[in-house]
Amino acid sequence: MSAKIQPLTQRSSKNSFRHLLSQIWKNRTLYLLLAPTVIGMVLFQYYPALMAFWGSFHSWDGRRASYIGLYNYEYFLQDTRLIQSWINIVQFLIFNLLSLAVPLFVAYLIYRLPSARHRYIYRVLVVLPLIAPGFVFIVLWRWLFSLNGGINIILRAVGLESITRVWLGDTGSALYALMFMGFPWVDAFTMLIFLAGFLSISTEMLDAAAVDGATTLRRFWSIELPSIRGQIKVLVILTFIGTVQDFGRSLFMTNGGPGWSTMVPGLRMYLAFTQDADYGYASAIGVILFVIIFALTLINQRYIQGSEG
Amino acid sequence: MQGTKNRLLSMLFIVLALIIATSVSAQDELSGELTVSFWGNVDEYEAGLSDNRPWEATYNLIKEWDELHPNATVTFISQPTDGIYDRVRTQLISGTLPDVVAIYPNDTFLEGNIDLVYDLTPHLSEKNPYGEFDTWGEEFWYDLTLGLRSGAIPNGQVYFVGNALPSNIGQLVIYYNKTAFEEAGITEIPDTYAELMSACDSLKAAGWTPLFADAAAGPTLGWYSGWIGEQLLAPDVTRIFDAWGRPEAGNYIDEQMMMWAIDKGVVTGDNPYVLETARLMNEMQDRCWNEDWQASEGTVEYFLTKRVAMTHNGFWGLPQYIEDPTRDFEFGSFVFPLITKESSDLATLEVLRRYGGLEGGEIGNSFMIPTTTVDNGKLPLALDLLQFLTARSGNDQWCETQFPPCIPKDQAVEEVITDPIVQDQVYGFYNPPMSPETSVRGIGNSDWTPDGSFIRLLGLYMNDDITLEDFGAQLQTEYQRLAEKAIIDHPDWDTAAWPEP
Amino acid sequence: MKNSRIFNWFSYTTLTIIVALMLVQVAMLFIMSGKDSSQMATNPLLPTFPFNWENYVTAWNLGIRDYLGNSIILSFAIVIGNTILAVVTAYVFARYNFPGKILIFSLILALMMIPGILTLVPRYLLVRDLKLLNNLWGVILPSVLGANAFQIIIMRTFFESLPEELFEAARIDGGGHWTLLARVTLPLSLPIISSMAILQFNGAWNDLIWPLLVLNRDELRPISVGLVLLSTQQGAPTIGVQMAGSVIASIPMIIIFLVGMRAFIDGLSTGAIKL
Repeated sequence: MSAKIQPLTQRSSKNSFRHLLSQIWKNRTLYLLLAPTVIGMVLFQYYPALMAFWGSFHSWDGRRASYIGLYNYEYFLQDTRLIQSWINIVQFLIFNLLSLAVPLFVAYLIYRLPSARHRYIYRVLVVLPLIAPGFVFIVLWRWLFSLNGGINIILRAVGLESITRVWLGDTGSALYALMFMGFPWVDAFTMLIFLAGFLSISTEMLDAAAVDGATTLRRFWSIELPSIRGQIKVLVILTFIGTVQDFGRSLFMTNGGPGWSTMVPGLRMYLAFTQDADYGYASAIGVILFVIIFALTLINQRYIQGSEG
Repeated sequence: MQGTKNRLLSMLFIVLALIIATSVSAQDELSGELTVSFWGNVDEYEAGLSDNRPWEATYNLIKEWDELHPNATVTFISQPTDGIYDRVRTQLISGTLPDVVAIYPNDTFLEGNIDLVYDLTPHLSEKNPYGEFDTWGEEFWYDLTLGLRSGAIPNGQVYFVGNALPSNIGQLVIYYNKTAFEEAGITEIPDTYAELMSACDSLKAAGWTPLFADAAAGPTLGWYSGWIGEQLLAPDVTRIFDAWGRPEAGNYIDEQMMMWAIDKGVVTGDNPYVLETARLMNEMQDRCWNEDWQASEGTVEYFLTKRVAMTHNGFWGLPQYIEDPTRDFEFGSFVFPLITKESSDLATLEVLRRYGGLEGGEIGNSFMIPTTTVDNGKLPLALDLLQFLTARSGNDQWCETQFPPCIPKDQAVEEVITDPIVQDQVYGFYNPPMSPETSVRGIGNSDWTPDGSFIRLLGLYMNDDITLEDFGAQLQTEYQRLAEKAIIDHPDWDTAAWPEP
Repeated sequence: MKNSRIFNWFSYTTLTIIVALMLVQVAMLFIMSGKDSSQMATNPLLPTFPFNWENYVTAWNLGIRDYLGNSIILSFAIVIGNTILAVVTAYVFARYNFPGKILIFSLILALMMIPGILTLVPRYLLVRDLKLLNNLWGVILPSVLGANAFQIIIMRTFFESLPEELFEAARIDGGGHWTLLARVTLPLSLPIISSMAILQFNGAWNDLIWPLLVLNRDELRPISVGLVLLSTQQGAPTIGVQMAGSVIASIPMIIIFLVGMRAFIDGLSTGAIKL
């Protein structure tokens, strides 16, 4: 920047600064309206996020903290249980992503129903189970999986006595039992989002396809599925973020056991926090999970932009 | 004339007495709200639905105190027992605890934060206003400084007072169904681990599930492994005491001693005693336990519904078993038996060791006062309540409702309980009696690993998911990580001055 | 375009089976809520008679009464507080220009990148330091003030799509910020607001971990925490009582669905398109 221009820019910046101030003053009501949201956001989101980074470098019991550098991260990397919990979370992730196909399938079938009235009825029926809150199913499925519970009763009744077991007490079955819990895996929200996507496909496109004599399968692959690409991508990201963070099932159904067979990083964090009162280590795990979520969301975002641009 | 005078005098006396009485009660400055964090669900005590007799009695005593002081009101706050120590610790640190806290003191959960608890020691040498002795300390049936000792509490200081059985009873016993034992042809209760195992075999052959265990709910695996570990690891305990000196309170290992032992290689995850503990646990699982021990149904009372022949429980379970209207069998109790050479080449003990304090009292219902209560000006109220509860009269009143009953330290059980059926029911609590040699608490504690690793590894090994060697190797890794971390977290430990083994 | 008869037959059959599998779980809650221990032992899956309504009384007295009240207070406070803040915030961003708008909105957008798991521990300590542990505000405040980015973004998009002429007309009539918001924006966006509110309610009603951490006193617990702890503790009540508690826990959701089902489904569908 040359010396000649500098006074000019200074003057104009002074002007614009005054202008800015007057603008701000003029809009003071707006700032006032935004104030609760902004203050709350900083207090309950940004400040704790920064504290988590700070805490991850400290030995911290909630009362005293002493700086220990990268020790918590080293401790994390030396954790022999780490591999198991990552394998578990990856399995959860693959399963949850694949099971998005079920609500997609249901949404598609509803969308293709010949009568609008029937479409509405089935839509209501899929949403109806939401009346029972999610935590209630923890209670129900704990019983279903027990030695004399529903699943084993059914298996015995159909002559499959040999595969009955204490489903949550067996290292070979506990993780898969937790996955099976949502059976038949139709999340109403997900289904509604897919359905809305299908219903917004323009009829001209479909009519054109009909003229071409496209089969149902062909029509699905080449027109309908690509049309809801946006919805699929959003749900993939949401599923991803949700799964990496989730540890409620492992906590309430098995406490991560038997052994570490249903342990996930989020639960390890929760236990370090509540059981071992090791806030520094818990923060370090939180930071690592954040970095993973952040990185993969960015990759996903870039991929979406790339494929659409 | 004389009669009228007398009548006048007596009337005068009554008026005077009334004036004195009102002025005394006016001087009673105990007013305000006192919040009490209470053990378990208060609604259940209120409705008489609780199976916990000791806390129910304490609850009723507190209500009595409340009525005694019309200007003071007690507000109870239920503390669910799941995770109660972790929760009380966080609330203590954050200064959000109620004015008085009901909790068993025998835990190291106060480690590093004992300065946040009000020190009751000076008050114990003063008179208790409700008491009959010169000092408050004499009101107790037991020696507080010995009975309430834990790793976090400095010698001689008293932070907890409460009601307790004056006799020395262990925390946990095994209850057994006599009908089951008869059906299996077992005539005598097991005195050794080997006898326990053969009892299990006979019970199984007679169609019974011998012994209840539940890894998923509660600290069951920790209790069983603790019983075995305290016995088998006795040589390691000796090595630790050789270096640190044996505490006067008995065979107590505190956190610093344990971390030292791990750091110096005295206790290792793969040392023969630890591996033998795991092996015996596995043997017991194999021969005794219910099929669904890894995740049993929490709603089923396995013992009372006769699904198992034996179960473990504390003294608080006794009234529940005695009074159950559906019970159609007799039962007895015995302590977890001695491990002899017959079961393990590594067994060294001649005399059984049992969980619990040297003195009576540590199994009682205790209270502490957080320092925040002092800041809130509630100390006089809180102190008065505790003095009321723990005066000799309060403790006697508490004892009346207890079962097993309060028995003075040196009296034989048989002299107090003469009914042979009841004698069998309480047998395990008094036989063999507690002594400085037999009381233990420390090395068998399964909490010496982060994230409950010890129990988790044990579960894996007993589920045949890993071998005994893997168990030892992985446990050793966990131990070392724990010690390294503990040393970092404890700048107050002078590790340079640690003794050599 | 018409479907083949086979395809229609296939669709109806498959949908009916899937829906039945979902509904049978809900039905089981009710069926099992009427069983005593002996009915549970002999015939746990099918309906049995007599139906033991005592289970409901037992559950109610075991604390469900308090839990239900707490859940209602918490959920309504969170939904109302959150909706007001989100509507105001979204409205300001949708209809006005002011210095710093982009910066502030980016900060809100970036919230989507802060996972709850990162902030869990420090947020707990913050609530502790604010002396809000064991206080319903300790659940309400972080949830309301923590800024629900998703809600704000959806509403902003919707408010922006409202035709400017309506606002012009109101402004000419001398309407201020409040008039524009209350007379123009709100009536037009009631469906989306109510569907967002139902979504929020569902989330607040189901929340487990945070209330479990913050509310340690049994009498303050919401029904989610209360019921799950009741069923996992040692010596838990019978399955029948647990299921009776579960059915009670469903009642508010049933009411909301009866009243607002249509708004919910339609609103969510419109919101979904905006995604």
